[in-house]
Amino acid sequence: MVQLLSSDNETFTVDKQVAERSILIKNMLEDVGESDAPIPLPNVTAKILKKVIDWCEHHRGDPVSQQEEINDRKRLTEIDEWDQKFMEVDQETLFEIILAANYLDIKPLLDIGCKTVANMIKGKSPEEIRRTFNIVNDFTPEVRQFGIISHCYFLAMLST
Amino acid sequence: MRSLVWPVCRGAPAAYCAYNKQLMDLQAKLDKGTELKNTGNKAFTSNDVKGALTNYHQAIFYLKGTENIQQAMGGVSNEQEDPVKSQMKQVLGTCYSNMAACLLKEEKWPRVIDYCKKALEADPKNKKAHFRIAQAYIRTGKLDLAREELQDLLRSDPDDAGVKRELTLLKEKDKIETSKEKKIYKNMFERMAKQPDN
Amino acid sequence: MTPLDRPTEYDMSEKSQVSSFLTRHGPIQLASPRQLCYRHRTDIPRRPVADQLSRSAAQKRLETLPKADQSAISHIWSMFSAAPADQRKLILQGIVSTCCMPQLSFLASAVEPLLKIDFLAVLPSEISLKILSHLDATSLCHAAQVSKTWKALADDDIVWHRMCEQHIDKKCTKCGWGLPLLYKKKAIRKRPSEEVTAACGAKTESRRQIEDKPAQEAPNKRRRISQEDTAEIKKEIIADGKRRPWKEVYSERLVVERNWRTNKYKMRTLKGHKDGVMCVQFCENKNRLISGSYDKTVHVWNLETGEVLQVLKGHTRCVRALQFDDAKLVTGSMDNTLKIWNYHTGQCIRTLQGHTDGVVSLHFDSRILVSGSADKNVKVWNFLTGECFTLHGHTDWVNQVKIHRQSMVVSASDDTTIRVWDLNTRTCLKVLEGHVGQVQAAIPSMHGFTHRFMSNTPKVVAKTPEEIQQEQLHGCRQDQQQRQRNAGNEEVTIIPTPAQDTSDDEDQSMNTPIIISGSLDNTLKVWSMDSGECLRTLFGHVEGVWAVAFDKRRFVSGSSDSTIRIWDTDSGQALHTLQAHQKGVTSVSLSDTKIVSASEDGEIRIFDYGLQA
Repeated sequence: MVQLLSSDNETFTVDKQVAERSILIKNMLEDVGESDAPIPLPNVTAKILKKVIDWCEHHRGDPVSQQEEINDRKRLTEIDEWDQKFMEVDQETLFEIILAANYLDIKPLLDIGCKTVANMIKGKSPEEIRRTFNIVNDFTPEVRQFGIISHCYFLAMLST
Repeated sequence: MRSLVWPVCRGAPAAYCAYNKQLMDLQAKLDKGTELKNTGNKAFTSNDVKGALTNYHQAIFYLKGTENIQQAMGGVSNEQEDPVKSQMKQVLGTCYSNMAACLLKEEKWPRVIDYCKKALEADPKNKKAHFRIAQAYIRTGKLDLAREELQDLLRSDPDDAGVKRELTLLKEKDKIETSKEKKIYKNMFERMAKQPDN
Repeated sequence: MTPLDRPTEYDMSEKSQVSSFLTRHGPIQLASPRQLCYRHRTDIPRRPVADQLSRSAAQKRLETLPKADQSAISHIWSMFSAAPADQRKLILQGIVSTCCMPQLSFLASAVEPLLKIDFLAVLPSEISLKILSHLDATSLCHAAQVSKTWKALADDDIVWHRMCEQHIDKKCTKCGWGLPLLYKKKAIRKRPSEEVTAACGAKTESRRQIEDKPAQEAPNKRRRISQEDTAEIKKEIIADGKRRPWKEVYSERLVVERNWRTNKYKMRTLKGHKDGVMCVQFCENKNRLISGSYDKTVHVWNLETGEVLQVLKGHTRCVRALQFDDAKLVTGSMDNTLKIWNYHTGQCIRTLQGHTDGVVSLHFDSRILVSGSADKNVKVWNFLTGECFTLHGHTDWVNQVKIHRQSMVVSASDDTTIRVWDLNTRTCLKVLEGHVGQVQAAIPSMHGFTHRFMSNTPKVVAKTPEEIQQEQLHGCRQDQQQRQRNAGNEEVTIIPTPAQDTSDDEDQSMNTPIIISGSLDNTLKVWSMDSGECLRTLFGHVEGVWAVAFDKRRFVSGSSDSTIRIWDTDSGQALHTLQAHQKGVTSVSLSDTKIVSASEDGEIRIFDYGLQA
């Protein structure tokens, strides 16, 4: 059993196998061995750490595949059902999960997070994207027009 | 106090931001990380490899991911311009490099390669990291990569004894490899010679 | 008297409570002004907040209230804004618990738009690029129009490099687009720097297929040239000076692909032969087109300008077949000989005698030359040793021969069969039957070719006659049983064919070599080289098919009905028909951007789908 200490001083006790889904923690345990002292994670709050631990628990049995190539080749933006539900959170939590997955080096979780965000962008027009993420269009009108024209040409070619 | 009292709020949105004070700010993290790295260095020099590794790992927890949750979404946006962030990167690089040294002693070569790569990401000019990765390459059979690294090092430091030593080792390993290959081809040609010509 | 001078309804002690609260928490807030949460950051341009939530609107409404209420409310606001984060949460908890439905729905509608985050401004760039690399080209273009930061990231070379990797020279599994490789004379491609790709996860090892090739004239080649297809897959050259972003690379190829899809081309005609042109080959890199004709000559043309560079005379009868590479040109003629020429100087280097009738087809690679003849034989000549041996089997003219993977030969003949020969054992491995007319062309697929021609029939295993009989009876009985069972149903169930393709089989058949053949029975057939069965028959031409050419994206057939048809490799559907010539098409040749066809009317036509079309 391993103890994880979040940035706001909450301790979580997890199985070694679950904790080792994070490569950062795994490397440390391999190099140094287990100890009783909790592992400090100053970049993850308790709320997010709990979510991440939940995910790791659910996926504890997954094969840890080093083959990024397989993912690259398939490259489908399909996420399985449980993961989809897991990612149905508000945007702030979503980004926090992505950052935590990046920090803790949990590749599959990071991938899922990125795919979720990518799915939020897919198929939307620029204005719809702006509305989804509350972004201001800071192009000057001329640049805006140019952007539209050059991309229209591009897009027209794709839409046969 | 007037600026905090509603409704006088001209141009001071900062006043309303209740940034979570429990999270350490970047400077504090840099300090803690540096402290741990130094402890690790001390442990390494007194041959306490495990202790050194523990400290280095902990340092990494603090230094890695300069973009933590709140800080990614808050604070100065431009990474390149932030001196604190670049310092953190440097110290991180040193930690990785030193961890590679620790694991070199324990002869865990694949890990040495991993950590050296990370150290080189942070600081591509880290000669020690180049040297260590070359050593690991030799011992894991990646002779071509080792050769590249060693030749680069030799060019910048032609008198380095360590590099020369590794190069000699590399040559020996090369010889073994080529003699193996020769054996394989020898058998192949013998087999081909036995077949009738077309 | 101002409202503030009048004694308020509040106790003085309450006021002091407020101010002591503010004193306690105020200074901390102002301590580190650089650390602001997302909402309060000044560097991210933000959409104007909806009216009901803006401070100025609230301010205005506050001023409409009686002064005592104003004071109370503004105290509440100040205390909230002075409180640290956890206390704010506590305050809100209390407030929300006392809310009634109207307030709750106000909160819900007001807060929802505010919870959105511009992640690109916030996440580190490696992660943002990772997210963008999951997008297709259309979404990427839309993303580039969103805002300046988005444009900078969506146009980033890394993302487009990935796009190019996925699409160029292969079919993308997601969107089905395959872009051509495009040989370019002066192309110099930018390679993104090593560290950046490392950060993004794009492997440097898997670069085997992506890079575009600059002209082969370039002197300094990179060290690791792939062994297999040196012509196709090389590492790119980085030259100082001109570099092109990957997005441009992608969009160029997109234009070409679009031209193909919409059949937009520029046509040129090369006239010069005095009689029908029987064979043609071109090479864009070397800018050469070589044609052989009934007028017994071989013309060497400059592909770009169309001028005739050489006229090679020497054959005493029609030149029926030719092939050239860097060094030499080999021609086969009805005068029973094969000639090897240096087409730069026009000299004939050697003449190969051996056939007892006209040479109708030839194909060579680095070691051997294979020729098919009207004397029904296939001869294999070895360049190094000069030896020659003969393959017997066909019972009529051998119209086309092609070498497959250095050890096999595929030959098509007027006896309506296609034969696959093994060069090591010098025997015929398979006979492909199915055409009902003379087979004029049969070409095996090249390395790396993928297709989706599924085997429709169950695997055919050679059977003895008794077994066949039994099976037929059994089949009849099953048929009867099914029909009896279905007597009551409206649906008619088909006798289930065994071995429906499982997904494993599907994957496998994608890469198995195939042969595409064209015949005078007006059809093209797609055969599986492994099993020998005909996978597909393509109908469309109204007269015999004389020539076939194909690459990874399409195949092209020329027929004596003087049209050229372009077929889609995946579906086997005819995409376009080009009315190419006045008389029958005798030969076609295909590249990434061009189709070249030769005809009995003596003309050669070049259909250019490239960038200038």
